[in-house]
Amino acid sequence: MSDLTFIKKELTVLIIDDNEQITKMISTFLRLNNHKCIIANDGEYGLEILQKEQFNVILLDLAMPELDGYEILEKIRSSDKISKIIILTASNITKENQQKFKEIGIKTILQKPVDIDVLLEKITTISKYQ
Amino acid sequence: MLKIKQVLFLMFGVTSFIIFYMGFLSFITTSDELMGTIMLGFSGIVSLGTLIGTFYISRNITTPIDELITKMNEFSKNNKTTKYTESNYGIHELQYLHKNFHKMTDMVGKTIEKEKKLNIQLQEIDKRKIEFMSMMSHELKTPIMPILGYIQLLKKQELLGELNNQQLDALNEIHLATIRLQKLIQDILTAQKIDLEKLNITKDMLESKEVIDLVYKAFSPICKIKNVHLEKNSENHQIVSDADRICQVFSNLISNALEFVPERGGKIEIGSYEQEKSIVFFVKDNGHGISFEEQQNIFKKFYQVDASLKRKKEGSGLGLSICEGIVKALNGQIWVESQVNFGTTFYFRLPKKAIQIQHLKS
Ligand SMILES: Nc1ncnc2c1ncn2[C@@H]1O[C@H](COP(=O)(O)OP(=O)(O)OP(=O)(O)O)[C@@H](O)[C@H]1O
Ligand SMILES: [Mg+2]
Repeated sequence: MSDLTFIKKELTVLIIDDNEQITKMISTFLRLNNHKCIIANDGEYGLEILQKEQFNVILLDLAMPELDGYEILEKIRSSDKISKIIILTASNITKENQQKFKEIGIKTILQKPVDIDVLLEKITTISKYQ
Repeated sequence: MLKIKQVLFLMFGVTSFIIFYMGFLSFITTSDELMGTIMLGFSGIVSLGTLIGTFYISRNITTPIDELITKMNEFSKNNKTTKYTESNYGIHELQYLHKNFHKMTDMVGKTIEKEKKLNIQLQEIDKRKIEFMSMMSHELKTPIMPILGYIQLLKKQELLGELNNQQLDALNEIHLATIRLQKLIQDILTAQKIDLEKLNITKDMLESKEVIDLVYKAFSPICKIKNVHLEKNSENHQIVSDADRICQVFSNLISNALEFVPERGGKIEIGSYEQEKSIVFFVKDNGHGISFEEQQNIFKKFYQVDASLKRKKEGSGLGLSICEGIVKALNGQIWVESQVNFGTTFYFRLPKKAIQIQHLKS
């Protein structure tokens, strides 16, 4: 399988989520799968590092204190980084918002709690399109 | 329809005419000219007086009544009347009627005012409930994620090291309980959404056969594992409805059926057919059935029949109430037919054309 080379490829993933338990769990899992992880536990830091550095995939939580996921999306909506974003949220997403996310180029929206195998699969799929 | 005015004038007009006519008769028949003239004059004055009296009375009766009618109309239109002014109607009873009418409208007006305030308060409470719900939903779902994640991680023994059988056993128990908790949270939140009429519904043109195929595909693996024969049986019709929600109802009904079919020879049939202007979907099983008395109860929230005895897996009793809520939000009906020891069929009927589906979004 030629896909295998992609899956084995080392990815750099940014996780923006204010819940430290979740970021720790996901990063542990990704590191065990030989990927690199950068964690941002608040929106401001997330946005800063997002604009400075390059990532293969960005996991973005929506509900966060201060700068939230929607605002981050607003700030980077014209950047090509938007296609690398996976939204990972526990909030309900209305169909209208879902539509809006699609329009600005976000392909994957996951609801917490998400199966970690599904998460890994989505991460590798997104990175394949780059 | 006669008016009071007409009645009064008719009565007193005729009376005064008779009086005058009698005076006139006595005038031409009597020999005493003076007496005749007096009689004529007297009857003339009396009948004139009667007419004037009638006029006066009629005005004093009909004017207040007309006014009352106008006010009543006004009140029935906008729940308000012009303020009561101490007007002097000649007739005591009518004045009394007016006064009391105003007292009554005042009272009714105040009650309506109160009700309006109450309504606003209720809306406020509803709003807060919804806010609370979406917050709770977020807070409850969030911690499940790391719990489930670490359980899965621990189970990947190639990553975190081997577990002995007892450890694996314990982990499996934790996993099952967590999945149950997750389902319970999901169900409680859905039930609450239904209560607050906040269920998201989208309508699309669907093919009923495709929906059944989808459900069939999703449940084939688990049926195979449980050794239950799953059959599908569907005509194809177009329907404007919400595929995700229909699948959710099917999922609840099939999960139930799976729990109650016999260990051996379990059979579940799903399908749909057309009936008048609607499509009926069904899930039929050959389980132990539900008695007629219990059929009245099973759609209630948290209701379970003999929770301890017959079921294979624990549940919370929310499944069917959620099904009912969803089906109602889709403008349909759900019902059950069952014979104890032979099996159960759940049906739900949905309109083919969306009759203005409730759009219950925030
Ligand atoms: N197909 C069936 N055959 C026999 N009994 C049934 C069937 N479906 C439902 N029941 C009875 O109706 C009760 C209520 O069902 P419901 O789906 O609401 O709750 P539950 O399955 O017990 O819990 P939950 O669905 O929330 O996990 C069940 O406990 C069961 O006794
Ligand atoms: Mg159930």
